[in-house]
Amino acid sequence: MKNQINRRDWLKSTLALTAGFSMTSSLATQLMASPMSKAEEFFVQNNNVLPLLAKLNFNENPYGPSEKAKQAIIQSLSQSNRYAVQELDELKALLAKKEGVTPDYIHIGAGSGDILCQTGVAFGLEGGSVMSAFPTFSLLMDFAEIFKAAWHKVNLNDQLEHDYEAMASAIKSDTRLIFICNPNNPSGTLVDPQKVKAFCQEVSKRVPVYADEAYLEFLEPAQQISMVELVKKDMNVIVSRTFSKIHGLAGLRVGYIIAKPELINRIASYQHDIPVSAGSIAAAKVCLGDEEFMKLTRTKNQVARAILTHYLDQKRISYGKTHTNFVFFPAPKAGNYILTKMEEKGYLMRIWDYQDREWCRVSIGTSEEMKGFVKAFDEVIG
Amino acid sequence: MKSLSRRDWFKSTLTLSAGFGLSTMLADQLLAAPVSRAEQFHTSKGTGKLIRLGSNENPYGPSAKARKALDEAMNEFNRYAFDSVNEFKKMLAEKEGVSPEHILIANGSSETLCLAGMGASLEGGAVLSAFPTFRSLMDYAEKLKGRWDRVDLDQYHAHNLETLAAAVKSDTRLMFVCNPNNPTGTTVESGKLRDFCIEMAKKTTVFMDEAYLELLEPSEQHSMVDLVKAGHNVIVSRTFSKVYGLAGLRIAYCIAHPDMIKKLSRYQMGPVINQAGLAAAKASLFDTDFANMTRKKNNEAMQYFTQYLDSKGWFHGKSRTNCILFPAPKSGKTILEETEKRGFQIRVWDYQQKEWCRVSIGTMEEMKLFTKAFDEVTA
Repeated sequence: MKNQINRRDWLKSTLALTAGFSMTSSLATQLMASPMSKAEEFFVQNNNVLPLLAKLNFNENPYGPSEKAKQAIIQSLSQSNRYAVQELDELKALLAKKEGVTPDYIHIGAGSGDILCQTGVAFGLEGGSVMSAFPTFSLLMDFAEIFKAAWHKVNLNDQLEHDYEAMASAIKSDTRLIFICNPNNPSGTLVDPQKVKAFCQEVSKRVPVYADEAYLEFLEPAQQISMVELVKKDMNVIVSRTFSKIHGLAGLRVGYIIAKPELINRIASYQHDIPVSAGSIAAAKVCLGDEEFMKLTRTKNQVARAILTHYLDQKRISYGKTHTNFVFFPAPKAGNYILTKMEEKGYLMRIWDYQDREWCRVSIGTSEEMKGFVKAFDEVIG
Repeated sequence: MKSLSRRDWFKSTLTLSAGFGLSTMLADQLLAAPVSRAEQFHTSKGTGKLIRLGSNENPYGPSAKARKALDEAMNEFNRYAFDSVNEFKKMLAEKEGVSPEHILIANGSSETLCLAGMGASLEGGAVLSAFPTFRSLMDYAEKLKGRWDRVDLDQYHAHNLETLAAAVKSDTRLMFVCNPNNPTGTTVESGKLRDFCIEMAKKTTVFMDEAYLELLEPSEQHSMVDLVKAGHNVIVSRTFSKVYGLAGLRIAYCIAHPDMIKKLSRYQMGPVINQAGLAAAKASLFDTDFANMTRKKNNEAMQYFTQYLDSKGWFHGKSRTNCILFPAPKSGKTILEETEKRGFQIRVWDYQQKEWCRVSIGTMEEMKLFTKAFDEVTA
């Protein structure tokens, strides 16, 4: 059933039948990225809104927006009665320069989600299937499913990493696009970029590859090996980036892709007109190249993440080797119980269903938040 | 040409012309799609700062309240807007007298238009509208292989309800009505419009774009929202871009039956709503002082400009908005080039084998400068 209709709709319509729609619809919208488990479906239907200590459910950056970004937004305010079309072109030019391409290789959206959806339309409209690892960030595939394309899932390997051999050999004649996410959400795992590159080079001869690099910038700069270099060789590769994560601008909705103009035009034609806010463009411009803020986020994230991973190590709970601002591990108790009890204690997190088990995904907040989380979680799982 | 989107077509045309870097920029500036051959072939020099009388923006926004609210919300800009969207939905529901399930908050009204265009086309039918009007919905529908049926305005540049009604076909999925209309600024008498909507909504979905309605005096703002409340198949769309002066911040909403809202939100492209816009829109919603100020100043500047047109003997529809359409006194191309040379951006429409200028109303000072420049251009 869930595969037939869009999960978001299904959840919302389920909720509409239950009592207290206005309360639960708010939670349903919060889980817009679609519920990932029966536990989440149940949780949002029965949930009470309680005071929160930490939102560890959306992989947000607790340190953003930077002071520079705030200043830039203030300065843009007097012009925000105007459609920000020139400003968007200016941002495009800056991004092109940063990525070492011409502006016609860049497409900017209201968050990378906007472009994932446009891509879902562009490659889902004519049926066929889109392939991805599972679990991964599902928005593109969810959207393609609305347009009658099938979602062809290939499980992660035992280390919760993309299984590129399995994916390559699973390509079918009706595969329209392959979505990859490195590092992967929700598992946080990274596959050796050389291996990913070899995969992209090979399979992009047959089918376009969409490489979501939303979390790449959580790696140390020297390790940030992007697939952009394949784009520059005009391969059938689309690279996606966002200002929501390392730059801490999730609420401002700016993301972009880099691809050859033929692919850009195909995807961008489904964009709704004038999608990005003036304040958001102003903030994004100054965040580009703000090494200091990125370093601060990276460093603090690593310290706070270690609090959670040390705890999991102590408990002998295995987890994917994470390179991002979240950690994925098997749920030690029933998912719904964990969600409910943790919310009672003031913490929001996510539960995934995968391979007949339940999994927790916890986003990394500040060190203080993670200390509080670990304590609360320990009480909950007993 | 009909089958491919005009924007694409425009972009590919430009690609063939010189200087791609420059021309994509212009294509994007005219995102709402070129509406005349003159615009298709007008290559802006792109230098200097223009007085923008081309996009129906509000020269007085954003209000002090909006700026303050945005400033105060900044610490939350690292978070997705899910909670704020829900809060705002409740505020809007209360204002409109409907439940929150009747409201969809959108990334500018162009999003509500594109969502409705997508919905209509995916059901495999046609969309119907007057022409010329604001065309985002129909352009998006055409992109998804829907058909756009159009019916000319009447001789006073107002919607012709009789010919529109007669143009409804068995496969008409949606009728788009813009009241007041863009680019002409004309309105339809509200009693007549209401009867028309009730009748049409029995046959098809009626999409009422009320983007400019709030530029009318409050006592004259006859919205079709009450039809939504009465259960008619009507979608009403509103925006914060016009009377509230937040065009750059991309917040709009539509009001419709919860089933329709569910259908439209299904096509929304992820969590697109930005926190900066939400904060400003929330603070603007009940800022009647600012809305009154905009209305008053806009009326004065509009009056000045219509007197100018009248003194020249140039026809125009009775505009109740911040834009006005009149026959181009010279070739559209010349007008675009020469007004730009003098520091102004305006638009040119093709309609009924003629060219028409659409001028947005700026401040009184801007309009005085513009009429002076336009005299030179048309001399």
